Amino acid sequence: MEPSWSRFCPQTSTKRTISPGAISIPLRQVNRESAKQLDPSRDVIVYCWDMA
Amino acid sequence: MAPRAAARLELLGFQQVHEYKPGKLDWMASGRPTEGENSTRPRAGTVARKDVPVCAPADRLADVRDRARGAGWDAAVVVDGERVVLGLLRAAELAKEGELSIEEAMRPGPSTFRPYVPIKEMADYLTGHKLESSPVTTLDGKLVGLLLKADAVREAEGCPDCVRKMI
Repeated sequence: MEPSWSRFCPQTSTKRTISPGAISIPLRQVNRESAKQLDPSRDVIVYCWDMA
Repeated sequence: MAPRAAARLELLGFQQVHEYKPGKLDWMASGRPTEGENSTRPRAGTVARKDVPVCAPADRLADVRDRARGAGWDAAVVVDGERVVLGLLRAAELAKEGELSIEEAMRPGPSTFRPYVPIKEMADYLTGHKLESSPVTTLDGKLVGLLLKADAVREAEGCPDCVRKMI
């Protein structure tokens, strides 16, 4: 099963580039409601701009 | 940010959370596809010419020159067996006379750029440093293509705000 890619950065914009299929959620908005966008049965890969 | 996001998701009950630690810059530097409005704007990697002739250090300059010019090029990139960039032959190097090997004739260690660099930045750099071309490579030094100044300047004219903040 394909993992779910999710981008968590302080601020996000739909104009910015993201990895194909990724869901963009600002870090401060990670909560039970926003997490409903993710399928808990799949692996989730999180990333941001760089290593920080 | 990613470690904190991962920890938060685990608290929310997600069982299999992985971090892509190198982040988006690594993704883009590897030339992988992206989405979003800015993904269609020109960058070093999209404008670089992928059909640039390549050669090995042990090749003969005369052979490479004939091959490059026959294909309409006055440049060639020197790579190893895994396409890691070792040197560059621009017009001046290709025109050298004598029985030279590529290793003897090449310009070693040329400046290289990652594929995600916006084209306006590339055009400004190549113009400011009076460079006719520069190799574009992945983070591990493998050749993506050769970016020609003329191409970069032309693309930048149509995208004057193609600068770093668009990443």
